[in-house]
Amino acid sequence: MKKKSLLPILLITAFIFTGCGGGGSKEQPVTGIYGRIVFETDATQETLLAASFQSFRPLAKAINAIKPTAMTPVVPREKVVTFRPGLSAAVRDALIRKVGGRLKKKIYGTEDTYVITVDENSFSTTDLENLAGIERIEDNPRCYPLRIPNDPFYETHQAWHYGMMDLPAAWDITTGSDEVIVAVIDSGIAPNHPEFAGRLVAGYDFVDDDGEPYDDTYIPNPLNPNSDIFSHGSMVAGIIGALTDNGAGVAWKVKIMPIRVLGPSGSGDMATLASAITWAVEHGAHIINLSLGGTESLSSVEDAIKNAVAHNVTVIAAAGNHFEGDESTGIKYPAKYDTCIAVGALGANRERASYSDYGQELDFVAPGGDGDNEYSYVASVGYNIKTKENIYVASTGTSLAAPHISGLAALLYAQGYTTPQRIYERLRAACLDLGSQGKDKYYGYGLPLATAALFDFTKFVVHLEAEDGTILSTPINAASNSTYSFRNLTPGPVRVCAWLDKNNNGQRDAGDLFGVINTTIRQNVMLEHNITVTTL
Amino acid sequence: MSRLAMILGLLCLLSRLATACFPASPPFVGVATDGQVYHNGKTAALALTVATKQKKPQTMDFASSKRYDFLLFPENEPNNAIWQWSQGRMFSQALTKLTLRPGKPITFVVTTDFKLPSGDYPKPGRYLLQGVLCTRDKPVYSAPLTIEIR
Repeated sequence: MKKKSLLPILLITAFIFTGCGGGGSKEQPVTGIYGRIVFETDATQETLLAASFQSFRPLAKAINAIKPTAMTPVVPREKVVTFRPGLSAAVRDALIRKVGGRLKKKIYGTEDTYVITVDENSFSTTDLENLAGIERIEDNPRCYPLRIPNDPFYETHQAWHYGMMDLPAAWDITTGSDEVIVAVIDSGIAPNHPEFAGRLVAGYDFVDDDGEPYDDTYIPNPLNPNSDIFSHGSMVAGIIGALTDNGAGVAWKVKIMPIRVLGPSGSGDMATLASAITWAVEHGAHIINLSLGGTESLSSVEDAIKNAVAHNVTVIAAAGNHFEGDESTGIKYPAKYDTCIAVGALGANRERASYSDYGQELDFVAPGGDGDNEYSYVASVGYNIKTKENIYVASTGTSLAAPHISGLAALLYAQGYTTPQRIYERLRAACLDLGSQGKDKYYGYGLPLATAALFDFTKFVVHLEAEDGTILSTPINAASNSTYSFRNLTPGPVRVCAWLDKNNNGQRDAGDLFGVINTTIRQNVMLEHNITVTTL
Repeated sequence: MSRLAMILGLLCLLSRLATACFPASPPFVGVATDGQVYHNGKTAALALTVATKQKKPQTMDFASSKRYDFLLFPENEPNNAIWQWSQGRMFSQALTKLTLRPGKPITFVVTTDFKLPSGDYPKPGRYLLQGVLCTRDKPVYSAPLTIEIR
């Protein structure tokens, strides 16, 4: 063979090898867009979320990715434009498009005032102002309809402990369900307190052995002041689910099953507790709150709790209180059992309350108050057993911390988390890590934040559409860590929409979460854009 | 006026110093029973009386609804409590307060048959019964009372 004829073969061979991805071959660039879904929040949550960034657990990676936007007082990417009267729709539309904007909606009751959406990168207010036909351009100021209970009591006394758990923002997501039943195994409940009107289901009195679990036995003998004057059970139940507009509970919609096991002296026995737990399970409770404790274990109680969990009933108990100045003797029973969620108390400064028991069995902490000042108590529904008055009380203790978690568990149950394991996982993932990093004996996994627990990023769908609204892609579910990705797109302008259909009616309407970005897909470029969603 | 304010301020300061140097004395705690001899299995009434020694009301804090307790020791083993009223009991976990007024003692009364955790009753013999006021700062113990179980 002549030498000359070898060269083409060598060249072809070299080309083949380099083309097959051997050393030196490059990936074909992708044309597309990806990013995160960001839940817009306000300055109050900002502090809490910022503090928790370094330590969120797996599910809450989604939350960890939230960059709390500095809370602007105006809605971003929107303007309110007043046109000169008499312009046609086509003219108005053309004026707005000229500066890269898009008409969104007319303000009801006006003829010429519209909300427009703009691309902040390219929009210029000056350019719009200079156009004939524009009379006025304004920002669209924000207002905050975070659902705050309409309770005069709330702002003065309850805002701190519900706010600490991020509940006001969570109430925008859900306020619970009347189908969820929380058993309050305690001292009974006030017989006719308006805060519980319509939200009690049948309970049982294991002290008097009858079907009237009312906490109204006052022993008037002056030699025997054993009776607590104020109903402990009513206070606990009120935190879980008092009616709004008089004294808010964690769950605005819930049913309370009162079960009395503590007598007038405020004490009871563990054997009775075992019976009560089983009774609650057999009569339909979904969650059981135990704001009580003792230093002794009883197998029957442990068995009853195991049985409850096996029947998908979540059991939550107060960790216990101890003498100030002494070391804690450990978590009290029944909180100490593995199958029970043990809740310690935080003071108003978000530090462990000095009286709150601790130990390796501690799971979470929640507001229990410290009593350092008038407004650092946990406030709730009350009942004066002696005078038979319906009142409001403020107190401290792990008794008050546990129902905060029970109420949140009720909200989770209403969201579809119906097993103790799933509820526990959501609580754990939503924790603001306090104390030492990770689980520790003083704070457990930390303070569960309600918004982080309730917000399910996996329910977002993301799709692409053209400027005129034509759908350009099949909707995709956002990944569990709230990211989205579209590949192999056609270059050109596009809108990327993220939508969470909260009321599940297939319509993009009030209450849903929605966010959109306008961008332009570029050839061989994988754009990165985060989508900020707000409540419609 | 400024002199008056100074005097008042000084008095307040002295009062605070006095409190710091001479903390309030713990209340009196005494235990009593409705009998001196009990037969096994029979119910006894135990009373814990609490009174302030101060000339003004004294408020006590409790870590839970467990405000008092009773302990039973063999007479010759005063450090070995064989029975405790609160054992096996549970208490609400809210902090509570109780105010004692001068000259107005408060008495807590319980009934028990002294059944032990094992299900048995104490062996016949002489025992020391002691009451405890379970205040949050530091529990206050009564002087022991001798009873006989037959």
